[in-house]
Formats: sequence, C-alpha cells, structure tokens
Amino acid sequence: MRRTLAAFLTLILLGLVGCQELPQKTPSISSVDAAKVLKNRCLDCHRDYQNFKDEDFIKRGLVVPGKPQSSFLYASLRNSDSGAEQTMPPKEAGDPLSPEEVLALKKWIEKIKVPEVKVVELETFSKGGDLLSEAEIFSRCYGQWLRSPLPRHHTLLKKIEEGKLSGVQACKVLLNKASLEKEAIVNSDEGRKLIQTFQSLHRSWFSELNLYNTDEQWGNFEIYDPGNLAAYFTYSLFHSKKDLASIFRGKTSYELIRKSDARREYFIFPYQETSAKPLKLKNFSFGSGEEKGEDVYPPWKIRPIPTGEIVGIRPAPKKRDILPTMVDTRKGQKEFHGQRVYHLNQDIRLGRGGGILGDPLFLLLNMKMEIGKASDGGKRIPRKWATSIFKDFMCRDLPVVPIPRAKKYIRKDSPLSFRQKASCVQCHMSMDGIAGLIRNFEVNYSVDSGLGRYIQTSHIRARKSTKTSATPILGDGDEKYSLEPARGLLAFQSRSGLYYEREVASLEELGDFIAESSDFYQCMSKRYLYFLTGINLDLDGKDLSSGHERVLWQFNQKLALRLQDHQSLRQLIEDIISSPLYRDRHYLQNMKNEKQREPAQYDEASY
Amino acid sequence: MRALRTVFTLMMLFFNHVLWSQTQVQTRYGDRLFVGELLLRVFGPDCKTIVEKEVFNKPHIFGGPCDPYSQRLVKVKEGYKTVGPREKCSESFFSQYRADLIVENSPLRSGAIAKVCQSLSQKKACLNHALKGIDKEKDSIEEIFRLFYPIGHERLLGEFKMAFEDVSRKKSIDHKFLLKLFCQSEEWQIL
Ligand code: HEC
Ligand code: HEC
Repeated sequence: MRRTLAAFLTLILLGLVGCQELPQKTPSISSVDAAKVLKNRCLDCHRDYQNFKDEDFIKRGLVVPGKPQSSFLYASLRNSDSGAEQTMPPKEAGDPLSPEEVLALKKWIEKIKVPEVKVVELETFSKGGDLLSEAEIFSRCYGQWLRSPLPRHHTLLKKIEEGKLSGVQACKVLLNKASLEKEAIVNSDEGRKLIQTFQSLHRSWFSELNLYNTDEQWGNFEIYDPGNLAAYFTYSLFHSKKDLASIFRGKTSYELIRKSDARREYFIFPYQETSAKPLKLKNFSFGSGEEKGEDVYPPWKIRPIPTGEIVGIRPAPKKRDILPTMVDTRKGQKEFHGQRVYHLNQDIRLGRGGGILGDPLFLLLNMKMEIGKASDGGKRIPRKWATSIFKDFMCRDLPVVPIPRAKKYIRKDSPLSFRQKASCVQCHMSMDGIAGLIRNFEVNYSVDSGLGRYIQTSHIRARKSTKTSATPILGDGDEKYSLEPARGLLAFQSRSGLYYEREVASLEELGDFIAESSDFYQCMSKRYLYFLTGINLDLDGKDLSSGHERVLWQFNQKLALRLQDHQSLRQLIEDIISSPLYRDRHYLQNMKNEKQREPAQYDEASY
Repeated sequence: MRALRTVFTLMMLFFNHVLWSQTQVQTRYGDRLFVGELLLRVFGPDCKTIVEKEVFNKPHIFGGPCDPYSQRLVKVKEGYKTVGPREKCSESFFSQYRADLIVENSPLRSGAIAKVCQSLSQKKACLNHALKGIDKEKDSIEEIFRLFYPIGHERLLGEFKMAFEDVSRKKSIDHKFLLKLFCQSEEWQIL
C-alpha cells in the first residue's frame, strides 16, 4: 500500500517536472542489452533506475537474483509469462515490450548471482568489541540446539582449543549428528536431542495443533500426532536431498519414529477426568463385523500412533494404515442407524497433493467444518485452512490484497454480507478463493470403537466430482459447488508488492506458487533468526523501523534470497551463525537500547 | 491551544500504534531442560527430586515445550503415572504443547532460580557434590565460578573478582555463599 502511494507521489512530482528534458544515463547493470531496454522504455517514468546497479534492484525488492518469474520488475511486464498482474509499461505509454526486449530483461535477471550474506552494517554496529570466543560460539549453539550444557571434555571443544575447528564449524559438525540421509533412526544421544529441539521449534510455527473438535473425535489423539506436520520441516533440515520447496510437493506424509521402554497399555488422552481408570488400548478397534442396520461394518484394528522419545523421522509407509469404512453422520451424530456408510479402504496418511497443504492431518486440523458437510462456496467454506496457509507458511495475516483490488468482486446484490463491501471482500476473496481447492473434501467419522463409548476417529473424504463446473468461485452458496472439480482463486499480493490474481486448479499448483514466493522464504529466515538470536523481526514494519532494524531487515532479505536459491535449512542456519549477530555479546543490548529510545522522539516532540 | 495539543497527542498515539514496527528483541534464556541439566551437573544426581520439582516441571516459568506423545501411562502401586524422556510433562496435558523454546527473563523466573539455588545449597548432599572438587588452596572465586561458566566469560569473571577486591583473604570467603551467588547469576542461563 505504502509502496504504491510512494510510487504514486513520485510520479505526480515527476509529472509536474516531466516536460523538462532531464538528462538520462544508461543504468550501470550487468547486462548491456537490458540496460538499453530500461533506458528506452522505462526511464521516462522511473528516473531513479538510471543510477541503479544490480544490487539496488535487489535491495528494493524489484529483482530476485536468478528468478525472473519472482522478480517484481520482470513479473510486471505486459508481455512476460509470470502469472502476476502485468501493467508495465502502462498502456498510455504505448506498446508493450517486444519479445526481444522482454528476453533481454529475463536473461539479465537469470544471470544475476545471489549476494553474499555479509551485511557490512551488521559489523559496524557491534560496539565495544566484546565478541564470543570460538569455544563460546560452540557452547552457545550446543546449548540452544540440544538444550543441554556443553560437556567440558567434548571432543569438538578440544578440536576448537587445538585450533583445528572454528566455533561455527563445530556447530556444523554437531548438526550433522542428526543426519537422516542414511538411516531414518538417529542413534546418538546428541542427534536425538537435536531432532527433538528442532521438531519443537517447527511445531511452534503451526497455528492449529488441536485435534479436539467434539467428544466423538477423541479417538483422533490415538491415531494422529500433530507433530508429524512439523516433521516436514525437520526432515528437510536433516536430509540434504530434501530441498525446502519439496514440502509443498507430492502426497507423501512424514512420521516421527518413537521409542519407549515402558509398555503401551493405555490411551494417551485421559478421557474422563473423574475416573481414575484409564482406557485400555487393546480394546480399541472398530466395527467388529457386526451388523448395524442394513450394513456390516468390517473390522478395523487400528494401529495406534507411536509414543515415546523421538528417535527419527521417515516418510509414512504407503498402504499401511487403511481405514475400511466411514460413516456419514449428517442424520444425527449419535444415531448409528440409517446413516450412509462408505466402504473406501482409504489410506489415512496419504496426502491429497501439494505436500503439506493436502496432508490429511493439516486438513483435519484446519478444516473446522461440521461433520459430513462440504463447502457450498458461500456461507460454508473451510476458511481456517486458507488463513492457516497464509499464516503458517508465509507469516501473513489477512488481508493479503489491498482494498482497491477487491472492488471488482463486490456484489451488492449478494445475499451474503461479506460479498457486498470492499472491506469484507478484501479478506474473503483470498480466503474463500483458495478454499475452492478443497471444495470436494468433507470430514467423516469412522464407525464407533468397541469400547462401549462413543469414541470415533475423523477422516477426510473426497466427494466424487462431476465433469461440469458452473458455479462461480466466489458465489453465494450452492450445493453443487462441492461436486464440481476443484478450482480456486489465488488473490495475493506479496510483501514486495507483486500482485497475483489467477485461477488455480490443484493443491500442487498452489504449492508451487508458495514455493516460488519470496514471502515464504522471508518467513522461514525470520523464524530461524528469532530462534537463533532472539530477534523477532516485524516483516511488515520495514519502512517504519529504526536504523538497525532496517539493517536487520536487509539481512533477513538476503538470507531469504539465498535460501530460495540453495533451498537448505542447514545452510540458512550456517548463514545466521556466521554473522556478527551471533557472535556479538552486546548486539541485542544495543538494539534494545535503541528501541527503548524511539518512542521518546514522539514524547518530546516540540509543539 | 490546549485542544490543539490534545489532538496532536492523540494523533501521535495513533501513529505510534499503527505505524510502529513490532520487532521484538529478547535475550534468549535457556529453557527448563537446559537449566535443570546444568544444575544437576553441578549439584549431582542426588538432587534430582528438587530439580525435577523446581525446574523440569515448570515449563510455564522456564519455557520448553512438552510433548504429550513422548510419554506413556504405566500402572504403579498407588495408581498410574506417566513415564517418558525429557520432553514429558507432569500435569497439564496439551497446554504446554507449544510452549516457547525461547523465553525471556522474568521476575517469576529469577524468583524460581533463587529458590532452587537456595534449596540445593541447603541440602548437604548437593552442597558437598558441588564443592567436592574445589581446591582449597586456589582462588575459590574462579573455581566456583567455573562450575556454572565452564567456558569463557572472562569479562564477567573479572567483574566478580573486582567486587571481592576488598576482601583481603580471598580463600576465606564462604564457599556456600559463592555457590549460591553464581547459581543465581543470570549470564549462565543466556544462550
Ligand atoms: C508512462 C510511465 C511509465 C513507464 C514508461 C513505465 N512505468 Fe512502471 N510504473 C509507472 C507508474 C505510474 C507506476 C506506479 C503504479 C502502481 O504502483 O500501481 C509504475 C510502477 C512500476 C513498478 C512497481 C514498482 C514500484 O516501485 O512501485 C514496476 C516494477 C515498474 N513500474 C516497472 C517498469 C518497467 C520495467 C518499465 C519499462 C519496461 C516501466 N515500468 C515503464 C509508470 C511507468
Ligand atoms: C481481516 C480479514 C477479514 C475481513 C476484513 C472480514 N472477514 Fe469475515 N471472516 C474472516 C475469517 C478468517 C473468517 C473465518 C473464521 C473461521 O472460520 O475461523 C471469516 C468468516 C466470516 C463469516 C462466517 C461465515 C460462517 O458462517 O462460517 C461471516 C458471516 C463473515 N466472515 C462476514 C464478514 C463481513 C460481513 C465482513 C465485512 C464487514 C468480513 N467478514 C470481513 C476474515 C475476515
């Protein structure tokens, strides 16, 4: 918003002086051809470009090195193949760029190298020079990552003292102890602690972890572990072949491997607070083969979710946890007669595409729909799922589009209040838009357990879609909506200002989009920065922040650009712990002091 | 004039609220696991009950999430109890599932630290374990300091030494006093 306003004001000012011929230089960027295009076609209006080097375009979020599609400058060209809204140069200014001109800009951006993480200002900020020694750096990462004090006679510490390793190198060696490449189970005590800590960190990123909806679904706690969602990130961190973007691809889900010496006899969840007697797991099975109404429920001997210490992670084996039957309880929740029965033989761990976005656990936690009801595209929409996607993976709160973009979807004659006003549509178009992708899903129960209580588990069921698609994505509600092929509207403005508005046809496509978006990588680097240093950067506060915050913002942006390029969380960690930020004992204190000073500027305003 | 001033102040409050960046800077304190394990290392395994009660079982004060899936219920004589690795939790089931890994210092926390340090140095077995390796002939300040700060922290050590400059015979400073002092100091908890 602010960006647009600033651009607008600049252009008004330019307009006022626009008639005067101002001298124009050719921008000194790394491609001569691209510089010519900018000079001939853009400088008339974007005069500041003439002084820019490559890094200025990067700094301002106009160019993502090596990635034209994600680059604001390229994506906004009228003839580019980016999928973002394309307006440049404006129609009033004449023809779009020729294919050759577009290509010149594309090639230029493709060849730009990702910058080093070094941010000079980070160093100049450290005052007093009280830096951690190499041994102290290792002691710091050891304490953070294992949540144990470093043993005085640790072999890596010895190597540091002998000058064979630096602190950062020792931290890297430590991290490798949890490697999952060769084996899914980690054997060393240190390796396990590492996995547990990062697993806890990643778990804290999810806004919804509670499996509890209604009493009947207590069984969910015995067959799902919400921590398995965090395992997508933890697996990527400790498996060098799993690039970060892969968490948004495919149908494989991940599971934690756990071990315990104690026998597993009872339910995890203490169902009745009052009774001292916990429920025995051995009776926990479903459907026992007896007749219910006209139907026979095949038995389901459930495989309970593992409990105990986390010792590893692996992709969940396919076709292991097969649920034979689901019931549709629309006709009354506790009446088991006369309801519909679906014989599905469904793998309850199998994703629905788009990696974590379509993970049954992520869907179940976030759909929040009434049992047996699917979306109608109007009042009934799984909005929480959509909101969680923006929040959990991009650190974005709604709205994610500016108000003027909403105008086109306002329908004054709609019976639904949130379709009538721009201030409502602004949120609902993005939310209701992508939720169209899971329109075919509903949540149903398993049949009840053999425990003599109404304990069931809940699961995602896909409705069969018919071939036609007729209802609008942002409609007023229609029972046919959930029977049409999945289709959603992606309406999203990135933090850098790129605006996307297009139809998406699958979770996989949505996953690809997130994996290409700078917001995802900035969100990831911000979270790691917080975990490692205690600085919780406000990604939306860039323009408002104090001097050092702006430096940190730039630092985070570089981390994110590099992450998008190398795709490795391990490298991200290394990037952060190699920086002065990690080494300087007083950096935080200086920042804190600066932050405390700020509000005073207003208090003392002279009026 | 006065009205103008009020309006101006209100405007400033408004902008301050709306436009201020929400970046937060917190000093990272180790969680219940880190703190508890260091105390156990210093005071010995006989002190497990105290550390368990005062540190490991207080995620709401020291941070450090609980993983309900890490534990199992087993039958014992008196009824049932949960067993599990370090991420288990005694009481609250899911409430600490997403407790922070990073916590700031708080009055509650420094109070809890003071309390556990007090209890530990009060107990003979713990006190003896902590001080058993201390060489009576050496500088006791540094020796005891190193229990909590095995690596580095030269500057801090220097400051402590300076504070005791006036005490003429360093060896005579009460070891128990030093132990409590360093136990309660903050810097060893910072990560
Ligand atoms: C006739 C004037 C004109 C020309 C020529 C022009 N632009 Fe723009 N450009 C604008 C205006 C006006 C805006 C602001 C509108 C807005 O933000 O919606 C803008 C905004 C942009 C933005 C948004 C970034 C920001 O700073 O807000 C980019 C990127 C951009 N132009 C790229 C280009 C490129 C690349 C060219 C040359 C190929 C070009 N423009 C040519 C007028 C022009
Ligand atoms: C900041 C974003 C945002 C804005 C602005 C917004 N909404 Fe919503 N709205 C939501 C979210 C998020 C939900 C879903 C809550 C959930 O299910 O957890 C929701 C749900 C609703 C629902 C519930 C539908 C149902 O019965 O389940 C209604 C009705 C609604 N909004 C109306 C409005 C109206 C009217 C406006 C404009 C005055 C508006 N909203 C503006 C975010 C927004």
